[in-house]
Amino acid sequence: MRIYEKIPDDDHRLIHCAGDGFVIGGSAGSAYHFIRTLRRGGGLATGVRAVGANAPRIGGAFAAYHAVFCAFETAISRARGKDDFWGSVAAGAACMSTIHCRGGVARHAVGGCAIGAIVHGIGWVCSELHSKMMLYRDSSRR
Amino acid sequence: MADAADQSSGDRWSEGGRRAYTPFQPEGLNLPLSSLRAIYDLPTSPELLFHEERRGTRTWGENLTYFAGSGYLVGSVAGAAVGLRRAAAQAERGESAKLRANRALNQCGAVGRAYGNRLGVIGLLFAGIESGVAGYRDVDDWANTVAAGLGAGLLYRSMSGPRSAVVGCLVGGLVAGAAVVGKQALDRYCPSMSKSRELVGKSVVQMIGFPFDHLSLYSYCTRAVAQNHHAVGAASSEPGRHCLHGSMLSLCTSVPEAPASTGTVARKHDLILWMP
Repeated sequence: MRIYEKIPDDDHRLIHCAGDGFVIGGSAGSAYHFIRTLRRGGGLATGVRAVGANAPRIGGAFAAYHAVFCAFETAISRARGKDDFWGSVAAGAACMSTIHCRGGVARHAVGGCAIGAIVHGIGWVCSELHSKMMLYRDSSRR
Repeated sequence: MADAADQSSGDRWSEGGRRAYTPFQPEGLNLPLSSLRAIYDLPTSPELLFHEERRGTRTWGENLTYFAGSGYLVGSVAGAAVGLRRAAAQAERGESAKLRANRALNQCGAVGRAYGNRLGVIGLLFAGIESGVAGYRDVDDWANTVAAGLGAGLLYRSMSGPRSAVVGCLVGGLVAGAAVVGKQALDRYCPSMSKSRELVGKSVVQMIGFPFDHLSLYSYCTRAVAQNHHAVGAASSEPGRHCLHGSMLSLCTSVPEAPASTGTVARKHDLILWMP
């Protein structure tokens, strides 16, 4: 199911995971706060200030989630000897439970399963579609 | 995907039978009827399986996530340490363990988050500016790092006024310059440390083994391959690469990786500037 996208044992994977989360969270947070400030009647400078105040916080939260998720996913896949979808689901459960360990583990475990399943299910579907698209790319008859 | 960008579309047999490896093999027998000799054109140099290894350096996207991530992680750890000290300083006698633990967790979390976010933003700015300057100059040397340090300090403090921005710029430039000098000193005075860093990391991973069952090709681990490299005569192959054994090459279609000539300056953002 996995196509050869990435090296399985790339160096510094955890750093890249945290960085991925930070960039994505920062972009989403920047866009959200900028648009929100503009809609509330602020100017460009006010929007930029709001972004500077809020976007790092959201980026950091995303980075934490993604880093913990990737750590659990790697650990689970190493332990099981396989790298598949259920590892991602279990990692999502473990991630949400760890980060929200004060608010009730069971609830967040179920929510984490759901999030892991949805996000990685979408990734799975996308990679299947990508494989199908790429299948006859290099044959002489198309 | 990078495979598409790496190869020319259309006739892939035109370059003397060299094709990049792709897992998407079309059905049927694809004979290059124009030049059947290409079938016998087996490569003699190590063939790398992943395009990340062919490249050797980081793309701008990897640079971005690397510095943002390392900034965030280092900031979080440092902030957690500072928070722990603060919690220990605020402790009073006769408190229960639960209260102390609660306070410690709160402080570590709060301070760790604050530091982590700030350092993550600084890392992001640094990486963005460094990739931009390197892409603009097309040369990979220390000036990129120093310029990135200056710019990151400037941008980070730009919100607090022009004087603060200048101070931040100077501090950033000094830190970046110190990093460049430190790296060069490390390379010169203890070269074994900087090289063995990578080797240790990769050999540990290989000892643990790959948990992926579809990658049974990887049983040809790098030590065996490295010996065969010398036998075949390929020069300058790092032992940490994923390569296919010589006898497997007739089964898989892969491209021989042209070993980088030592004379050229390695460009960080080589062929495909826009690929993250």
